[in-house]
Amino acid sequence: MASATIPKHGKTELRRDVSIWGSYMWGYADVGADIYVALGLVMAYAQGAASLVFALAGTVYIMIGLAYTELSSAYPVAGGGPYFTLRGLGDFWGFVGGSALLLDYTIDIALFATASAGYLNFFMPYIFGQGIESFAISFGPFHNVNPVWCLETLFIIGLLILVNIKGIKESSFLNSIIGAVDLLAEGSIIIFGFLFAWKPELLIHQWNTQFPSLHNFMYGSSLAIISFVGLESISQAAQETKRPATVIPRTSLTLIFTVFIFAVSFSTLGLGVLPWQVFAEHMGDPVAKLAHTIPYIGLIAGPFAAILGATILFISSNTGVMGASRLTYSLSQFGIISPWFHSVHPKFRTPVRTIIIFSMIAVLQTILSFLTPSAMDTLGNMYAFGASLGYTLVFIALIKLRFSDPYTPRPFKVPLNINFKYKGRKTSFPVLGVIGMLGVGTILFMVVLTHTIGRIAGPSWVILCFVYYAWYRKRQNLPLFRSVKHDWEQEQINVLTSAEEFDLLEQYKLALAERDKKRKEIK
Amino acid sequence: MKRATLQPVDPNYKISSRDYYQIFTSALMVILGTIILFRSFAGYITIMPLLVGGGFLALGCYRLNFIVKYFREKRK
Repeated sequence: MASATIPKHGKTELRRDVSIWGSYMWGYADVGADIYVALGLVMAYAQGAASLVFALAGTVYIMIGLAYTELSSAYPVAGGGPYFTLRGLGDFWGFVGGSALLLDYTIDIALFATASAGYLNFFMPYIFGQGIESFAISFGPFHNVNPVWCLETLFIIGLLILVNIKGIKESSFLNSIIGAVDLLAEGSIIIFGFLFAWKPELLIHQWNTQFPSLHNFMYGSSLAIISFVGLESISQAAQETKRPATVIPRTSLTLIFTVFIFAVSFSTLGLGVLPWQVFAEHMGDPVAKLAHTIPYIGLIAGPFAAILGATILFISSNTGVMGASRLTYSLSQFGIISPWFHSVHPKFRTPVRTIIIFSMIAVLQTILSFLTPSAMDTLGNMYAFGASLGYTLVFIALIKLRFSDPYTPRPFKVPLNINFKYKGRKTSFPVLGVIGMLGVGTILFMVVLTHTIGRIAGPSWVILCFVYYAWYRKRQNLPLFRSVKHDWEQEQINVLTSAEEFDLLEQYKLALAERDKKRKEIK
Repeated sequence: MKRATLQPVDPNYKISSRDYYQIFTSALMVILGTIILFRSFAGYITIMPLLVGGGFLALGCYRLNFIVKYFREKRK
């Protein structure tokens, strides 16, 4: 470890006042929106096997969710994946995890704004007499470019920039209301869909005759991870939840399984109601199309799902703007990036630099992706790369932290552990962590193998961030690949104190005292 | 009623509106799961409808199990 220390900054704490329901809905408003985007995209590639693909990706996602639950309840801070990676693997890997997540936040802004506009376009045939696809043009080497959809998306991103610079307080109450309405709507679509519209013979027909090629199956599987992205919201909620050790395991486990059930149910229902080609054609508004097909309720459910989809995706897009600000703030506190990023606007008191920089990156991504034949597909491509890279690092950090930080109390542990003694102390090795790491590693491998844009743009982004990281660390006289000395023990004491987890704090202090006593005895 | 955790049932606990909502959704899961399974068995059988139907049925029964336990404890 280097003896250099990072510059000290005044830390401001986030207020802890989010309830159990608020914490659950925070996550649901973020992760629950993913199916609105993923359904059409995955159907287009996984075809007759879409529901299997969702189930497989969902199984990996459950393991990722369990890892996040353990780490978020043990380290209830908003830094999320990169923070866990930083603690477990050191500064450099923390930076790699941070850059992967930053990529995802910028894509999050672009992809969800595109999808939000897509759901609004559901009404286009009824208002203008023609669908959004009729505006597509081709020029030079570019085909199927849709300038109208692109402009709508840019307008939404512009609105998000303005709203965030001026400063909105993301209302936990509003999130709860929209989340609850969405939960009810998705539940109703599933119930009415299975009761009145689902034809098992159609699903079986598609399964038997339209099973995808291996390439498409792998591509679809890696895209399906999109429907489960947003687990960072668990750790963000942990930072603002009172007694997170008690609340987070309950809410996040419920969230993980709700999202999994919805994703698998929607795809199974979809394949039994419509041919997969219909979803591929309606990549912008697949859930609204599905809801519109259901007898009795379809006439209302279709437009309602479209409005709800547009709203919840807008909120999700906003999560990208807010997430990028939170992440850069967290990274700058640990000397990974410059504190220049989190300076606030003198009048509005908002992190104006991060909002503008990362939103403009999202604007660029939007314009470039609309120059490709399918903007949604291109954005999804890169999203999957960032997510799978970040999650792989989180799994490695989970395993490493079990050995390097056995003293921090873990109110929840990933199940399936092998207990043994390591350096004279009881340690449990997370078998499920290894399986999850292999699962998400396989998805990362499939992304690199099958995503023509993601495998170039994703690593290029990480390399670009590395150039900045190297420049900044050199300028600050900080080591490039080694870690700066962090006082994690004091940090953990501060975190547990602010979270009012006094039982855990006592356990932690006792464990440290016991360790120190043993060390003295050895000396 | 206690949530679906592995904690012992407290007979002094009063059922709230949230619990009634959970009873309703659990019963709905059992009905939906049974219908999906029944319709799947009527034709050729593939894995996904069985997983989804079976999943709903199992989850609904698991949650209802706690409700049954609660009433049993209360009767004692």
